[in-house]
Amino acid sequence: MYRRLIHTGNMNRSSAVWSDFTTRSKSLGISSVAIKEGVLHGDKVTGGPISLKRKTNRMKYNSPALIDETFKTCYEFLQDRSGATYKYASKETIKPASMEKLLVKAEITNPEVQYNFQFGDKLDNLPTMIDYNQPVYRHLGKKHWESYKLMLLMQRLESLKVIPDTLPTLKPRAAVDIKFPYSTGVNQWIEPGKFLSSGVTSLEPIFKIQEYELVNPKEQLYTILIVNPDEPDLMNNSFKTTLSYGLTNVKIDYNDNVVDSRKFFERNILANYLPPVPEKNAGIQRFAVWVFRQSLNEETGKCCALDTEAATPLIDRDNFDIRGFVQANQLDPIGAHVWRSKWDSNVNNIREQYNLPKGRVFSRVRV
Amino acid sequence: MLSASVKSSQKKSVTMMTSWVQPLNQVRYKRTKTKGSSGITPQTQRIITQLSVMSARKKQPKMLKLSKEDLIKHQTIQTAWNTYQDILQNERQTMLKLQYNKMDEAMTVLKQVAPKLYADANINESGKVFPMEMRIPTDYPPRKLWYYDYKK
Amino acid sequence: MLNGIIPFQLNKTGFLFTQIRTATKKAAGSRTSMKDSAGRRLGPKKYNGQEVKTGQIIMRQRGTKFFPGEYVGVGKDHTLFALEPGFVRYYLDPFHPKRKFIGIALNKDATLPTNHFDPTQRRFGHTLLDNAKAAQKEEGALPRKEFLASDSIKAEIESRSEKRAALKKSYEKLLKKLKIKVEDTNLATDYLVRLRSSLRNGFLLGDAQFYSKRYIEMEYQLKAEKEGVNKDSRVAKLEEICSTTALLNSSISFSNKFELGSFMTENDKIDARENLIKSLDEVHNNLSTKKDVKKLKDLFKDASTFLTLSDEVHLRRVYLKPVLSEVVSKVEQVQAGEKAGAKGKSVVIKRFNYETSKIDVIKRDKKAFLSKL
Repeated sequence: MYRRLIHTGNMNRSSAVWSDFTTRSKSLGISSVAIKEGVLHGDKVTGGPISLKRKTNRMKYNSPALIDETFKTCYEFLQDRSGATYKYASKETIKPASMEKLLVKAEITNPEVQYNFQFGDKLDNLPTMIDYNQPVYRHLGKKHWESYKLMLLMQRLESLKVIPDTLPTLKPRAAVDIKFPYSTGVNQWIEPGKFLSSGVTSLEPIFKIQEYELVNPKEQLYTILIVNPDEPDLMNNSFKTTLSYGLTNVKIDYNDNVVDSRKFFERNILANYLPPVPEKNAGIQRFAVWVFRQSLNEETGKCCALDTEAATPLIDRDNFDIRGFVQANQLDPIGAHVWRSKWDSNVNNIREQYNLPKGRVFSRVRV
Repeated sequence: MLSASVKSSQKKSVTMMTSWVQPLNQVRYKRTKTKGSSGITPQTQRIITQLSVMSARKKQPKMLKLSKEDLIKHQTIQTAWNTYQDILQNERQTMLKLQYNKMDEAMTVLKQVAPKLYADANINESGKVFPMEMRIPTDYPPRKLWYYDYKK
Repeated sequence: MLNGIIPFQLNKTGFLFTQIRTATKKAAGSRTSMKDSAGRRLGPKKYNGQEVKTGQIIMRQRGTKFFPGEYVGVGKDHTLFALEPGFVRYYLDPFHPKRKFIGIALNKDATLPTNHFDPTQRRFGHTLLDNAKAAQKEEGALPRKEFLASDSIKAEIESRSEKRAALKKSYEKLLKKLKIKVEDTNLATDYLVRLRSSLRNGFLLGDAQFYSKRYIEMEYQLKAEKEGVNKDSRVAKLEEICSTTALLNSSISFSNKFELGSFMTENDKIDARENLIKSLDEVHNNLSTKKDVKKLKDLFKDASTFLTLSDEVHLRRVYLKPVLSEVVSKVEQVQAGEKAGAKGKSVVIKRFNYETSKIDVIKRDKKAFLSKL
């Protein structure tokens, strides 16, 4: 009955869409020739799966019986269906959103795409393997992010109360990751909510903003703010919010999305980086990283840029009203991150380095 | 960019003997201490073994380990089969839906045209699975194809 | 009155009624129904609007008749107590229907529940230590674990910075040796030390170079800001940093074991690799003595400068293979009756054959073993 579906009906036997890279990106196929052979035609030629490095392991390994023949039939079946989807997608009267879905549907069953995504690095992605310009990789990336990293982030934001204390809430659409490469040369993506010592945070972080939705990367501009809602306000016996770092009018791509100082200039800086310098017994300070999309005019297709020269003098860094700022500039929060800082014996050195006044000391016990 | 001699040896290795490679362990055995294990007599051990054989505890098939390529192939096969089954299911369902709609249409017309026949057609047949008159499916047709003089 | 008979009495108007006996002994020989304990003094201890201090109990209850709201803690017997000094509020929260809450409002005019999307009301509570001596004492006070660990941590920091200093010195010497002229050797060596550690931590070369340069720039800028250096000299210094790093990037490179050496372009590296393989092949094809083995090993000495680690490991495995494959160098299986004559030229091995379940005795040429050449 399976064969009937292939040998009869509208199956166009000449549709070899998945091996045709004239109109499709090379990232939709496996770049390594040996592995491609192994996946599509079986590993009898190489004497074992290439992905196993040791020869003895390759020799020991036994594939499930008849997997290659079965796979061939299924591959052709799925490829034909993908061909039909591509044919339907070539019509002109399709909206971009529906086009996305069709392109995803056409490629998601492609074993090469699945191999690239499952065994390729998703965070520090190689565009030849995982190209986030392709709707299918964006879809897979989004699902992967939603399965763990997104939930982890929301848990941290909620349990650390970053969400009501800075902005009211967040509907995350982009994955935000931060790293501190300048201060110590350490190559580590930070987990949300991690305690970072003053040495680590003494110089500015870099941000990686991974968009999964369909945006216009050529026009869309982004704003990044780092905000500390735990600065002691002795006048009110409470806390105030300070602005630690502000960048605006930043452009990113789907693949080229690491925002370090190669991506922005003096004119993009709303507020220079001031490192976390918590005071003794002032408690744990949370540093919330907020990433916003600047409002895009749908008719003209242009994004409204923030005038840094006009905006910078209006910003009160010591008592920053983030909600007011966001509303006034029509910013749309798409992602966030958070780390925590505590007082340690190196904080005074950093204060000296940045020419900040000496930190106050508070009582250990709360009265 | 390996030298020719190295390349040829690699090709030959395809037909290499594997007699000295210990095959994957397919047998489950009990972990035992080597010398003088804790005082379980052979008789006690025999009873323990018998009880173990009778119980189903931990008697599971070994977890299959697939290489990356085989995993992808397996996932592709699963997707293809499930897609195929979905197609068949949809066909069946659409056929049933169309049949039902046509039956409904016919009954509406019948109600207008011949209400008494409609009432007869609409009597409750709860519990009836197969009509008594139904012909049991066979591989070959019957010798007598149609009973023209059939009476109930 | 007879036992068991409920007496009837006529009241003044003439109606009959039964006399009900409560909490009395029914008949002879039974125990009392007097089963109760003294009252536990449950209930609210602080009412709505009352000012409380931290720790004061607000409500004693069995189970949670009232749930803990803002700044109210709950004990193991569901006692509600204040976590902050403030004013008690009894309220209902639309987020948790069918529940009654007790919370603490920090100010007298504040009402609970706070709006769900409003920032939480918080009280700082710590007092500022004005007295310089007290402040200093408090700053120097460490928790016990940190205090006990501080010596070892300091020692570790010292050793790390010593290593870095030693590395810096070695790089200074190397720069002289490679005749790379830099104005500020301190700057150059700082950059190189940082570049090395970035590469070791897995950054790609371009990123590592940029981040190390940026680090140097930022450190200088902070220092300049603090010392009040004028703009021109700042710009000059930043240009110097730029030119120095550019010079270093084009004149040095790190090996796959992160040792500093002179610069090699990608093409140079490819050429060097090809040459290495050629020479390795030459020696490998005529492998007969220990001198040949030593030659092979010597050829790999400089390999780390132009090979990636995986490449070098792969080539070493291919050319310095300890035992040749049995397909390449012929293997003789010794027959059951035959004696294994181990003359100077062959080595005898015994091995279990999993197919025949017997022990094979195999004679191999001594030349197949690299160590026995």
